[in-house]
Amino acid sequence: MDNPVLRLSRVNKSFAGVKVLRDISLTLGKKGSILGLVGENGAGKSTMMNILGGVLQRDSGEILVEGAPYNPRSAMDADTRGIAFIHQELNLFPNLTIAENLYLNGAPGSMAGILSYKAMNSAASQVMKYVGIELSPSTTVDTLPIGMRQMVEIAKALSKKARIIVFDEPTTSLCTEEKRQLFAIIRDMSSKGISMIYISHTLEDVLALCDEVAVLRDGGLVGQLPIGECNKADIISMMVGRKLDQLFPYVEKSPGEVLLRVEGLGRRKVFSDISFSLRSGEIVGLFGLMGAGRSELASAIYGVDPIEAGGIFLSGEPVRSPTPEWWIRNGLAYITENRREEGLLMPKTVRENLVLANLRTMRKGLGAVDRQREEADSASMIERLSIKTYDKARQSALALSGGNQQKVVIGKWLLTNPRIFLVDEPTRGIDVGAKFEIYNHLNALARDGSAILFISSEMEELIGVCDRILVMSNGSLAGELERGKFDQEELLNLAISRCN
Amino acid sequence: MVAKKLSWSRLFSGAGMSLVFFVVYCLFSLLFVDKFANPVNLRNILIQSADLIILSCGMTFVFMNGGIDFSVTAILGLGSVLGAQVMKIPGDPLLMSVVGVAFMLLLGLAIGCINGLTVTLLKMPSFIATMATQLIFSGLALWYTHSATIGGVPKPFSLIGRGKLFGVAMPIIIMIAVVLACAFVLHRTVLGRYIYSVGTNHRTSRISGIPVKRTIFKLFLFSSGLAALSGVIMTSRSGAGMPGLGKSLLMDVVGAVVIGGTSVTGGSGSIFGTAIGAMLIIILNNSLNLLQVEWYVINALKGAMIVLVALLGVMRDARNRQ
Repeated sequence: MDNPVLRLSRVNKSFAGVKVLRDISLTLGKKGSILGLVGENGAGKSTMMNILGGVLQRDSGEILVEGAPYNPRSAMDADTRGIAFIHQELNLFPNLTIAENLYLNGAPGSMAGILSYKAMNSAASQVMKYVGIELSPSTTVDTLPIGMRQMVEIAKALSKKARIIVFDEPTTSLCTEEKRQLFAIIRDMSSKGISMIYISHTLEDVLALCDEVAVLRDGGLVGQLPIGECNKADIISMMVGRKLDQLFPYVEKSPGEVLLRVEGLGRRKVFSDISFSLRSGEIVGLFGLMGAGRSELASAIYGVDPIEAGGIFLSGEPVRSPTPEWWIRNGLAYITENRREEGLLMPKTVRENLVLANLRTMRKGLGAVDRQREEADSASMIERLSIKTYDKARQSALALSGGNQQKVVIGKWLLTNPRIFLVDEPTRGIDVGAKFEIYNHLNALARDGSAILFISSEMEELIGVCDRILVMSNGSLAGELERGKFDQEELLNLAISRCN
Repeated sequence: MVAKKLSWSRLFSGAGMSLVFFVVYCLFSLLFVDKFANPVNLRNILIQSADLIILSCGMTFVFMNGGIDFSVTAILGLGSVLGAQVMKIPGDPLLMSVVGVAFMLLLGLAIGCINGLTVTLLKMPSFIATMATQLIFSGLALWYTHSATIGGVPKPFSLIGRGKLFGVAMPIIIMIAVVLACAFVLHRTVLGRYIYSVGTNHRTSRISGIPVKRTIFKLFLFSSGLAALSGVIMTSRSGAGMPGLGKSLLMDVVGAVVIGGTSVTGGSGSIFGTAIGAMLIIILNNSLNLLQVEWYVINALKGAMIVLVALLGVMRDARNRQ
């Protein structure tokens, strides 16, 4: 019998005395098999992948690749042993062409460091055709949509003759069609004998795609099962170690007066004629496909992007040329979709991040920061949102798991005491347990009288928690559904109704 | 153990190695360099370091946003000659001294305003904006004086650079006050938080309601204001307005900030680190001079030290990222 493609036995890893991986043993059996890897944020998935990729070194344990010991010291070692990674944040150089990205190191036909674009482009065309990119290899990557970039990543892995490909949350920013395409290619690669590890929070995808699923919790392996022997509920309870009653909690609320109203809002080529209102005590969903203009709408309302037509009204009063500072003073919070680049100061501490939007109010004599209040405020948010940090004054946001990072962003805004929330993809890339907590927080805020605009590409969560759902399609509002009349097909139809 | 190490690294924010090197180098100089421990020499070191520390503190602010301010030497030169010229106007010596100092400070701040506006409103990189003002205003100083010095400053004015208070030279007192004030602003105030935040990430800062442009603008006021202050002290000490005042200091200023552990990409650094960096450069200059090492060798050694410190910084960032 053949050796398994990849075998980890009793792998351990600690950081500063904290065990993050405990005796992990995993097997990726046959060639061409797909292993789903699931677990809450902080369960140890990233650490494990970093060990496989040579970014981190394990403390103990053994890893065999096709029967031979594997002790990677750098990303290069992973490369030479045929292990490729496709990360959540794509690692392409947007200013280079597709071909240049594919052959960053080791271009075909190059001699003495001089590139042969002809050889490179023709080799690139071949792999590109396989993954379904029908473009010239000399197209620069920044002109490609995100789904296409992912295909370039896959092409890159293939061009390196990878035998094991690790996918980390590959579908978070893909639209339905792109996702279908990705899955078709994954299946095809599997039939060609390439093995894959597929990390995802989207359990439906794992169930549909993988042969086996391995569940991690708190740094330990809970189990590895064939897909045929488990369902979604089993996996979730393995992940969280308890049964979740329901995935999407909904609470009855009593909507009050209109807090925010926009009328005929427009910005050339981005969105036009948008009118809606948000009442206190309701969660309004905003659904749409990628590129429908939802995030752009939110950042225009918030005054980060320009508005060219229409008006915004706060409690009936017109708002003229709003700025972030003005909105914060007047009780509106904007939780952006990109927490790393727009929500947090990644290298700064949890405490510094929590008080960031509220510093203005923490001035003592001589402009000094009121450090007692800073300490008290940040401590109260960490407790209220149960943010897991070993030391808020020392741990940087960088070192938090995705779910905890998102909680820090939410905490930062809660400290400004807002009544209106624009929340953009608050659960992207975070685990089931943290999602559930975030829904609960949004519910609690709405129940206490806040108005929430909940932007999301995940239809299920909108259907689960919202009171009504607005649908944007290609820059304009295509429709609105009331709770009770939510229907997946109808939402999707509205979302594509203005695309052509 | 871990906690102790962390609190130290917080205090000096990356300047830890420079501090160790500074202490070791001081001990070495005291023991092995003839005349180094001489009180006159030590006093000279402190007075010289006053200039460099004040200028470097200002530069640290601009560095916090990943920028640089080349115009400091122009502020020194132009402020010095125009200040001296103003103080030549007949009048009460004390009054004219005050007017002269105020004029020099305002002139510096005005040049800082130009830098700040070009960077924030015209979105020009500070590298270019301040290089331009440096060339313009130091050119103006030379043109105005035809490279000559302007002597005859009033007596009260010269007390700033040469006087003593409680037996301590005035420049040293001013320097200590500047270090404490800058450290307070950067590490304790809301403005300081804004500065760190803007230096780390403009977009997050803007969305969090932090006045990004106003904060960047203020950085240039700190830098130019402190350059002007340093110009007052240096002009007072030399007793004349000199168009080329402090021309050779620019590289030492930048070197002091880098050695002090401030990140060249912005977002991290400390005033105490900068002070250590400046002291280290002065002591290096002084001790090697006493050892009669040629100036070009001294420059090469300073260069090597900057590379070493920058390398340590890169390694530290890489480790923190894990």
